[in-house]
Amino acid sequence: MTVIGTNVRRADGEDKVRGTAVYGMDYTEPGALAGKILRSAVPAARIVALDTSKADGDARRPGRRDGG
Amino acid sequence: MPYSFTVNGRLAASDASGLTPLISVLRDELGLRGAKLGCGEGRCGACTVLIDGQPVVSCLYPLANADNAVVRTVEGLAAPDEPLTPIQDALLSCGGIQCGACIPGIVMTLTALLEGATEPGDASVRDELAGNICRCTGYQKIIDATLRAAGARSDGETA
Repeated sequence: MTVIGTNVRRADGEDKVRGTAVYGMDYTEPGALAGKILRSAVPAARIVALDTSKADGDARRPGRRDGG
Repeated sequence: MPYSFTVNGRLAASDASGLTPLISVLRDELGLRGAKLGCGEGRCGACTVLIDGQPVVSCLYPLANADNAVVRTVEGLAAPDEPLTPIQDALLSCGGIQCGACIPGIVMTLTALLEGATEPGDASVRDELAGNICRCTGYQKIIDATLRAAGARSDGETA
């Protein structure tokens, strides 16, 4: 028998022990958008306007999108 | 004032504030994503790196403290085209790796232990691993691997 009774190293083990295995936390989809939830500070309030100037004016976030 | 230090033998610098966790600089600025941000509060050890030879949890280690230090991460142990270090090899041989999220930290803790002057025994390996949590293996195979790597080292010294 060539398989039974033989110790086999895991196929993905070497990447893991070298630290090169890519986990979810290590990967970012190219062009992925980041979202943030702004919750009301006032109970039962209605949103009538949203000040997005901070996002608009930040040169590091040139890709701001308007949400639905 | 930028902070500068060496990482795996290369000079690195960061303009981040002094209280920035070292792991943020390593992962996000330097692209070294071997160290994992597990708990982010120093309990799990997945982010362990070596500072001047000592294991530290890089999620709590302030960038300012790394100024002028010698930082080593899992990426610095074996270059991509080079053979594994004895502890990396032993972890694979002994089945000490399952999901592997803890392994970059565990490898650094054990590397520091094996580079120490004293021959590690079962008890000292267990003591050293106190700061590294592994949820898969139950530790025994990691301990076996460490003792195997330590044995290979002492065999090499006497040969």
